[in-house]
Amino acid sequence: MRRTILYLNTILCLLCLTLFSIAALGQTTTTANQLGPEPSKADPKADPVAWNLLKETRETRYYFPPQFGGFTSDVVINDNGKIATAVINYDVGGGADLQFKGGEVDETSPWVLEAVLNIIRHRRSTDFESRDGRYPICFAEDDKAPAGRRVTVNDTMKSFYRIRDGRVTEVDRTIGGEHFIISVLEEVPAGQGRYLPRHFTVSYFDAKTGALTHTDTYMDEYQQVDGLWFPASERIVRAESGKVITRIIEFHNPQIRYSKEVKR
Amino acid sequence: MMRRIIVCILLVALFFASAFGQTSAAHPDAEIKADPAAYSMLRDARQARYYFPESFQGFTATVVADENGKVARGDLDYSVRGSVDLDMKDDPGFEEEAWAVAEITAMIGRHLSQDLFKEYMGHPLTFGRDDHSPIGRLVLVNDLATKASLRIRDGRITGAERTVNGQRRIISVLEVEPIGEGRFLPHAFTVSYLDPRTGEIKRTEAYVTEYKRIDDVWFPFRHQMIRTEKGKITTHVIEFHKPRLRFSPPSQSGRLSQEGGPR
Repeated sequence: MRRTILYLNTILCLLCLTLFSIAALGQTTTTANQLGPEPSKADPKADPVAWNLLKETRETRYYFPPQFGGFTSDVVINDNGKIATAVINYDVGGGADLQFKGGEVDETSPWVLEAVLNIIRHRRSTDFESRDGRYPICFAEDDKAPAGRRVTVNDTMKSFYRIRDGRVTEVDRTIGGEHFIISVLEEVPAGQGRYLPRHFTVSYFDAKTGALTHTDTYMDEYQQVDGLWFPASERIVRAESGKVITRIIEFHNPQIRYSKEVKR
Repeated sequence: MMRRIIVCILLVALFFASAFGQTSAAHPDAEIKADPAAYSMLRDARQARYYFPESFQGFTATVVADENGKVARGDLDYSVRGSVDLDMKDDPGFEEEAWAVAEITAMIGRHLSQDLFKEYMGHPLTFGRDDHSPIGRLVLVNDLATKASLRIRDGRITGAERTVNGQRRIISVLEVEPIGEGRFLPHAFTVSYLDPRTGEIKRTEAYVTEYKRIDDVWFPFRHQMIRTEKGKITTHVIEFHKPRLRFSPPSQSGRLSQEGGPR
């Protein structure tokens, strides 16, 4: 009887040990499979050189002047063959309103407004110090990538930038369960040493598994309106769920508004 | 008696199964009525696309290959007959020669061949349903093996799709480079690779190619490719320095005038 209990105890111990090993291995595997940037160090040491490099690089990007108050524009939308026209009214600090005038694009389709807002948000001037600049920015290991030096922001979105020749070539962020990487292929000069993106891709991954869920490749064109570079059109080629679709947004007759006070 | 009935039913079933199999395997060309307008559209689009002249035989150049930071330099001798001799003499330990050779072959191949075009023209081309796509009209090649199709807009090929080696490839042209005389070169384009069965995206590649005019030929001197695959992004850059082009004597047909040019 005693021998049997001893035998059972040994089996139980072995089982516990096996379960513990599996659990430990599982944790290791999960960590190894996690995609994208390695987690930020608990107390990363901010590097002023990296901070300045990112700040200077962000300043080479063309933004609307700080007095930009909003705009009204006709838009023509082509959603993979479905065409519609609309009017967009955008106010800095007041949001955007999209009024469909006619056509085949579903008015409830959220992508149109989302895409327009995305274009405009990326053109609005931002205060570096109150955005990325408030984090302890440092350099990641120099991997000599052709896309340039990797800069770690150490924010909650696990943001990384790549900088080459004074320009941002890559942005890497994780928001919720989505990890995305923006890769800039080509820019166009906008005068005074500043640039606008022309060709770029955005790759979306499942943050847990690393699976590529979809990619968007963009081609942006610009027009000069009242002395500022305003978007003329955006072409998006999306590869997702077994198909590739093309969407185009064109801006016509944009009326720019300026405000006396600077809104952020 | 019962056994005979079962044997008969089995034979009938086998007959139908075999007949169905034959129907499925039959090439649909015989049933598809080719559309002359589709041929005409593809022919015009093909003519608008710039290719190297027929007399182009190959070239030598110094190559700089950069795969995500691993940079290697060497000498290249490329022949249209199929040989790509890449000698990374400055980097004898260069381990990634295979990708560089593959990329150079693809990069130059895009400007050479009319074989694919000729192959497509041998099939009964038809138009797909007019879906008013922003990338233009759908031209179906009606090739059962590759399920190839093209998109054509404003006289230019804007997209292509085919299944090869178990991969569905979709090419989308974002921007072309006008080079004069109404002809164009692809400047920015993407290639998406999908599992033809599940539709899962395996990888995507975005390309930007730059050209120089050398010996009256528009030559791709630099290309950058950003590949998204298995949760990561890699950047490949190929640059050709001091390229020397070879031509077959005596004529160098298909040359272009000095008009136009890349930005």
